[in-house]
Amino acid sequence: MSKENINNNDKNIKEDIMQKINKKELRMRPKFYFLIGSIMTLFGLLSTAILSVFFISFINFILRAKGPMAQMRVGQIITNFPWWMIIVVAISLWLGLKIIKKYDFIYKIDNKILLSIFLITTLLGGIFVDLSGFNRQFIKKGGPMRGAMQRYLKDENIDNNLKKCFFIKQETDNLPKINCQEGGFNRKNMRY
Amino acid sequence: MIDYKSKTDEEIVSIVVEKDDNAYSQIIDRYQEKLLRYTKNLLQDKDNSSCVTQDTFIKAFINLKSFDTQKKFSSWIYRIAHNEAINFIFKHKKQEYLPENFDVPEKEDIVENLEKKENLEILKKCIKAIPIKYSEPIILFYFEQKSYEEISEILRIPEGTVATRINRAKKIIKNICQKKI
Repeated sequence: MSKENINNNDKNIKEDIMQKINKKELRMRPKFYFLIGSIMTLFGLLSTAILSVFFISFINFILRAKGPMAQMRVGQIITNFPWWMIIVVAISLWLGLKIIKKYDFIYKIDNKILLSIFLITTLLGGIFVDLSGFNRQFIKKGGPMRGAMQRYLKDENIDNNLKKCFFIKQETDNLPKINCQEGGFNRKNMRY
Repeated sequence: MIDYKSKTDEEIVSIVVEKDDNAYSQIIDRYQEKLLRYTKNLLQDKDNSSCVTQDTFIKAFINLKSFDTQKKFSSWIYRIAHNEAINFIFKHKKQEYLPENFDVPEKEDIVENLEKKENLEILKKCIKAIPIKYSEPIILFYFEQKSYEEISEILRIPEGTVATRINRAKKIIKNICQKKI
């Protein structure tokens, strides 16, 4: 490109843009537009992270409720396992990663490290939620997984002690009383 | 009357945002030639580079209030130009890609003294055949004189990756250029 051409191009670009600005055809987006964008990004990230954590805790819960692998109940787990949840977890993790990348400073972290940190954090979060008894509180008091967990406990051939502890009364009222801990079930009463 | 010559890019942006839209012409004056050159090297087409440059300035103006004046404006506007150019390439152009496993054996020397003017001219001819992933950091480093840190900010990749891509690009360029010369 010759110097003259560059200058002509420059002139046209500058004139065109300044004309549009002066005619108010081009306007700057207001600051709150970007503020809302940031809040939505944060909300999206938190939503996908929470969704992943709860689904992972639910998967962990199902695997424990179904019984140990040692008793060779793998077949039962495979046939009855809600595989769609794995897809939901994968999609929400992928979405979460996409949203994380919107943050300015994230590019400095290597992709592999970022992926590992996100996956490990979410997996540990899921296991923590399951072990801490949060999801059991959610089943009793209401929460994102309440309906799904109760339905699952009702439909599947789950340990009756576990059902009792999760207040599915219509199926377990005739069973003897068991020692359920406050906010959850007593591990001693479970058959694994 | 404001003396814009003594103002930094970031200070002019503050003036545009807070006081006077017309100060944006100063930004255009400072960057149009640089961005035209950058987009032309990326797109290998001067007409399209004008369109992309114009779109870059429009997008930058619309989103000017999202720019953090504590950061470097140059990297921010180059980032917008990069995005616009990449979108344009994927929409309109077929890139001449080299095979994925293409590389120069380790024992061969990499391209040296690319800073020399005559070598830069050779580089311009060869750069078309390089995948955009490698040509972009090379263009920014040798034609736009950007530092690794700035390239990292513009392309949103870690500085280590910038260095790796530039080294790999040099190897590919050497192979291609040697064949062409």
